[in-house]
Amino acid sequence: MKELLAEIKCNKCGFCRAVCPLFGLTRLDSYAARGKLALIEGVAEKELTMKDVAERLFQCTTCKACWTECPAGVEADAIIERARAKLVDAGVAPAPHRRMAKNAGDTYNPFGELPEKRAAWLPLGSTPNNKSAEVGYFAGCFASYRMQGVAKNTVRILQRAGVDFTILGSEEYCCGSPFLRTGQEETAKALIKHNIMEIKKRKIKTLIFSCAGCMLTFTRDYPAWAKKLHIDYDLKAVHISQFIDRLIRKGEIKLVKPINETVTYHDPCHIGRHLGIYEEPRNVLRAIHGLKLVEMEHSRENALCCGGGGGVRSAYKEIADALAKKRLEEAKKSGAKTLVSCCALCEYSFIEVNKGKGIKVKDLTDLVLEAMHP
Amino acid sequence: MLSELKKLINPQRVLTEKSELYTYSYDATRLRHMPLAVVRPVRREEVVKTLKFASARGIPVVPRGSGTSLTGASVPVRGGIVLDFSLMNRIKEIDTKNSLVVVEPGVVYDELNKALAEKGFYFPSEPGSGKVCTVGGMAGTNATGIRAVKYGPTRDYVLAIEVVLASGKVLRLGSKARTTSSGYSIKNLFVGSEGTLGAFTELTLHIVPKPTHFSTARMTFNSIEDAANAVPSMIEQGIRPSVLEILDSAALQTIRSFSKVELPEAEAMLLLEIDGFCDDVETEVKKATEICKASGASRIEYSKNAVERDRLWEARKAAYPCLARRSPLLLSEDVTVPVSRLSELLREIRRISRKYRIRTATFGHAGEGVLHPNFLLRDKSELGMAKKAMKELFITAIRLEGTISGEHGIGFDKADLVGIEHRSSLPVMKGIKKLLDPGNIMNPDKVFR
Repeated sequence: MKELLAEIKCNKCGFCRAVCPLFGLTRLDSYAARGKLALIEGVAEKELTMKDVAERLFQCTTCKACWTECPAGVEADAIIERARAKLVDAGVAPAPHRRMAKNAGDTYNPFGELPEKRAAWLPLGSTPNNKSAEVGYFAGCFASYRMQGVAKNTVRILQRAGVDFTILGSEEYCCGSPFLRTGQEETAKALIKHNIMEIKKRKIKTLIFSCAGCMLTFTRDYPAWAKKLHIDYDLKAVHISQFIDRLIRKGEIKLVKPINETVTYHDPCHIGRHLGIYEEPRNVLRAIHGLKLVEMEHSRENALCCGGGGGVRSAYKEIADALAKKRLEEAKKSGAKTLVSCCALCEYSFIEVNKGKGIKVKDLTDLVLEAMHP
Repeated sequence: MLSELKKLINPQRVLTEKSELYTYSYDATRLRHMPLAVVRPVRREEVVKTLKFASARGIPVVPRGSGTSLTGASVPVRGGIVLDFSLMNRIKEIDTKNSLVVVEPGVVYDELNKALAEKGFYFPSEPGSGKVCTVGGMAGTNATGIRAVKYGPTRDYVLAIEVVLASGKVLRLGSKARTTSSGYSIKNLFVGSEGTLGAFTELTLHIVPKPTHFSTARMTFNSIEDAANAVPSMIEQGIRPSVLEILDSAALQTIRSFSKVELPEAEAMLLLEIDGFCDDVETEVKKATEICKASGASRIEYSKNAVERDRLWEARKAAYPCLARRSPLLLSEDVTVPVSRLSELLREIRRISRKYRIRTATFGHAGEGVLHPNFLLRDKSELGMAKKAMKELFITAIRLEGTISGEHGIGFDKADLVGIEHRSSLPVMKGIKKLLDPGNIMNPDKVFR
């Protein structure tokens, strides 16, 4: 951990406590960025052991809320990820994370689902399949195995807009995000290398994502990994919300059917605070006739986390569920009848705790497709 | 021994794991020391039990809010038990008819104001750490903030307290009445005592109506002396600002380099705001800026709406974050003098900075004479020199008829120097401490040694 000390420019002001979602649940400093960075310092200074600090350092959703309040601009999430890599090396990572890595080794996804079923969501008779095209669609593990509706919607929208696109099909592997966020770099490396080669094989120049985590990983981590692996890499990552926003502006899709619904939009951390994508999803929602968009108390840069990211959902489900519930409560208070987002993981986290009760949870593509009818 | 403590308090709220204790070993200073245990009370009885337990064994006890102290006040320098009040954070009563609120000490300042805003009320003074600091910590240090020039320090708002002494005895001091001529004000002794006399378990605070009108002006000057001298001129001519902040050229330069805030080139800046409940605030600001013009203000900008107001505030709000980015090893002081001596203090800060070769950038609440000279260290090797510079700075502030701390408190860092300022009253302070805490278990080594 010693080499991380130079990056920890934390002056211990504790301002991160105001926004850290886990601190909000526990009111313990060890959950806030200040505490976590102190724990890393404690290990570096040999006052604590890796085992002493492992649990707390894995209890971070990497939502980056702390960064918005940090006077010194410390990116605690990035430092915590690097510390996690050291904890993994020391053999003190949580068992569910190790299981995820084993699954990825066997089946190329963290769930251990069959790789040949990865593209089972593809609507029958519509196979943009494994051909070459400038535009590609990367469904990601959640949309492929858990939230197939999102993937189906996306393909339908692209087809109706006349976009010539391809997918990686059963050759799409996990993007590597769950492993990079949890310090399991070796697992991520193999997945990243495979995906880059498959993308190159199909001559894809622009890749579209349904999941905020995949989008962040391809935007931030893939270029760095390609460099490390000595692979030429020239790919533009685009989130589906950005792509649809562009299609609407160019008139390539028309949202003709009014939807008389009051909705609120949940900013996924990994495209929001991490990448600054706030306006495009809202532009799309505003383009739908009859739709009323209301904001929650915390939105855009201040949005609350769904609780699912950073490996927290897989290893500490009770924390993830508590955070998802908190966000759903806020959504209800906004007066909206529907919570809309554009990240399959966020939506899955909400649906799991919502259990079909209370507010409806929809993906942005659900509304876009509905508005495109007839 | 700790197992006995766990029999008295819900063991889930008695922390003894090493990693957890580690996160109670620091505050916003460089000081660190591990506690023996942390107790997280949820009601007064648990504070009483903890203090009786500690008293019987001579174990030090350190009350802690959010651990944002800039003086080491919340660091358990002798180990012992940290009483973490984060979970005692209920707002028990908001009484707008009597303009008061009854709270537990762990309520966060901004959270209190969020609740009060719904009723059109406000708990003033706005410390810089308002998003996270607790009202217990504010009362403990008699904290002030950016609006103290109009609203005064925390002490002015504490109507009553419930405090637990080292022995476990509970005192209820003060009342809900706004004024009293009844007996010694023991309550006021506890405010600002930094947890050395007892631990708060309840506070009754006076609140004020939240202002509805704001008028803001930002003025730049070609000399820091001109800016500083404009302050007493305004006060003398009856101006009652709610904010009157100063920034020196080093602070302005740092903001320019470390943010996107657009700032005119200048040697100094004053930010002035007047709040109230009608449009008169604009007339008052105009009057104030005329005085500043006569004092040498080279450029004056006024806010015409909320967006403009935000723009004028940008530089002041960016000051601390930009300094923190420039130097992660930043030591922020809070020397305070009568406003007529501000320019002398600023001159002395520059002299001391040159003498000890330590970079400084200064901003502060000029309207109440509080300056924050920020010592921007390159690395730890400059710490020794910075300490010497600070000592000279504190002596200078006293010489200028001021104080070594206007709002942060004394804590551990300045405890050796408190005798310089309180030469005649230090023995009295020590006598009071002995009377209320004969075993010296309450936050030992803080305020004085």
